[in-house]
Amino acid sequence: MTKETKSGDRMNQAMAHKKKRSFWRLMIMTMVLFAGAVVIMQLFEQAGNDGRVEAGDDAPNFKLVSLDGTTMVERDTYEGEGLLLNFWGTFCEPCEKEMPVVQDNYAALQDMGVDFWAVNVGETPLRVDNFVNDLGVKLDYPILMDTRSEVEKAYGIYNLPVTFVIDADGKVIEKYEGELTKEKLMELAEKSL
Amino acid sequence: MLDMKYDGADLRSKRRPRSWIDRVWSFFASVKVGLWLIGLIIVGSAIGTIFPQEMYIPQQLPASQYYTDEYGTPGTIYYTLGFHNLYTSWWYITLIVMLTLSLIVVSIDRFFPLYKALKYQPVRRTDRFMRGQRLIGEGKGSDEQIDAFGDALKAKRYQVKRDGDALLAEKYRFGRWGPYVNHIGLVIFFIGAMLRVFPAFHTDTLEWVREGDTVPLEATDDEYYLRNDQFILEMYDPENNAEDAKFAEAIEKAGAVPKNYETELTLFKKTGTNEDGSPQLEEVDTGSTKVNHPFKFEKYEVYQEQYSSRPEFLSMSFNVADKETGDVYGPFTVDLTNPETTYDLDGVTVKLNDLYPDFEVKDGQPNTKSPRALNPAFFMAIDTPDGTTESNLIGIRLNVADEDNRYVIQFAGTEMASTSGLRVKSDSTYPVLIVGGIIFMVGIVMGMYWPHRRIWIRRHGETDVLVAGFTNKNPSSLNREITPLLEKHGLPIWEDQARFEKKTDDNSTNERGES
Repeated sequence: MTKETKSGDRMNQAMAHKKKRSFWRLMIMTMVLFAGAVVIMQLFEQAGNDGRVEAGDDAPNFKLVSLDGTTMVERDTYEGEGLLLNFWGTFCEPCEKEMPVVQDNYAALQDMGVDFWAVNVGETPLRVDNFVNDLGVKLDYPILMDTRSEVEKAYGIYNLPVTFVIDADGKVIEKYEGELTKEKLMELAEKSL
Repeated sequence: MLDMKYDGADLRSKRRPRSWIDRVWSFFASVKVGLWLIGLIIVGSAIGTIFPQEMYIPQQLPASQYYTDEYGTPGTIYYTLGFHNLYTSWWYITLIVMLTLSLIVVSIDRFFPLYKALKYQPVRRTDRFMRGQRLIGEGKGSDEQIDAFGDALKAKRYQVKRDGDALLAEKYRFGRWGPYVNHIGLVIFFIGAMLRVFPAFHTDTLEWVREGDTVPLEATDDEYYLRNDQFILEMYDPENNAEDAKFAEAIEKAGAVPKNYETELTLFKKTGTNEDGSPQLEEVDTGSTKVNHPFKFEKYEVYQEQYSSRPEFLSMSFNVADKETGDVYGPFTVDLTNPETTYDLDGVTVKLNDLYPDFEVKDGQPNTKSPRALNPAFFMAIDTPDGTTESNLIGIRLNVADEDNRYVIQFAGTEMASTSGLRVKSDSTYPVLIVGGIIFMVGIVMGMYWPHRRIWIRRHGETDVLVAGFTNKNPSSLNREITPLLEKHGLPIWEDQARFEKKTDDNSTNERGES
């Protein structure tokens, strides 16, 4: 073996060594950063999962019976186009104010293929019945009794009234907190389609 | 003097960067960058203590509102930047990840060259090298003296190597690995901290459970249910309890002092779902949780954390008394969650016309403030045997009725339920954190208490010898250990060069240890 080929060998060895080292350095850095990225992704996923249903989430399923006891509805078997899911209480003044507005426009909503479900938050049927009778308006849309507050908990309700706009696929399009006016109601109904 | 950091080894990060990999590597291998990261983490952690963390704020309001309502604009900024959940905010984790990477890169960058440099170090060093050491002496000496000195060093547990007339004595080299062991510990610790983000390793939820209620535990992904059988709040009672009597004076000063908060509970496991969507539950265990004495099942711990200071009414019982005859009808019980509307009492019939769970008068009308039965009031009508109907509005310290009424409604009892706030926790990262912490400490101790010491001797010219010493810590201690030996064997006494130089190695930072 001549001197030249020897030094050439050594050169090749050094090059191979260097390549190997570069590879490992890249691997280490990539692995650590990748692990970090996974952790941060997980964080973002959890940030959106704080027990409150928001726009973009799937609407949790539930089964509830109406105040008059004649109908039972289930979220997942709803067959209409869009759905406005409203939460209310007899102690909430804006709720009281929006009810006649919803009643006035309920027929129009139904023509659009949109239903309006009003879930009462854990009150007794007695109280709700009295309240509805005292309203002075006969309500055609279903008042659903969440007597054990399970649906309220599943949707993470804080403020009343609140209306979830749910599309035909069961996705929440918007969460609207506050009293519904006629314009707002129709706007939300449009969005649910 | 020579820069003896990393024994003068050639660090990859200090070479001129050639590719982007080199650049990224050099960035993370920089101690300066590492210190900056640590600094930012410290500052971030400090800011995180200005307002309470999310887990300590009241549960009634969502965090997004709470911080703004309570602290104004600074609160909004605090919430927006995620300081309210500091340890799981994306930027905090990013800093931790970067610091972790920095620790790994810096360790690899330093450890391997240093390891090789020390493993393959020559016994015979150059003049320049020896004179570049902090402890250096020159003077008369012979081979015999060097031999004898070598034996004396062996007795001091030095590992002595010879190369002709040259001698290298070394001890506690493993002390040099301390920082790297320490870094491994830190990296494990950080991995543990990052695992806490995943629910499989760490869960922490607060569940409010009213007495008698059964709730699904979110932390267990609704696999387990807990029933609150009873909430117990005991006060110190100096009058009736001899044990407590000795605190009588202090209790009088402080008012009522709670002695025990406890929730007795039953654990259920969900085995299936009924047709109506309700869960099928199977009882697993019963027990109780007191403050600091959690109820444990599987990897979960249930802590008694809070309770609602206003118990809710579950039911109320009443009697109907006839003012004329003194007859008493009843009692009858009104279930506040699902009330009957008619109560037949053998003669009189009571009709419950309305029920206000949290009574108030609004615009002159009876109303309710909330759906919670905190202050219930009842609107009742009594159908008397005479065929008349008498109305009553009954509540707590409230009885609105016509004075001419023949029948009065009297309270006969209540059933109340407290609500207990239970913290359900699981944390499987403790073992990781503990192992990381222990390795971290081992590294610290290695680096702190075992200074790496080396002594070189070689002939210099015909009659002279050079003596040089190196230590990475506490040179005066090396001095104390070796100087008497040098004296004893008649070798030249070394001197501490650093004593005479104010600026130690500014001019020689680019010089390598070996020429």
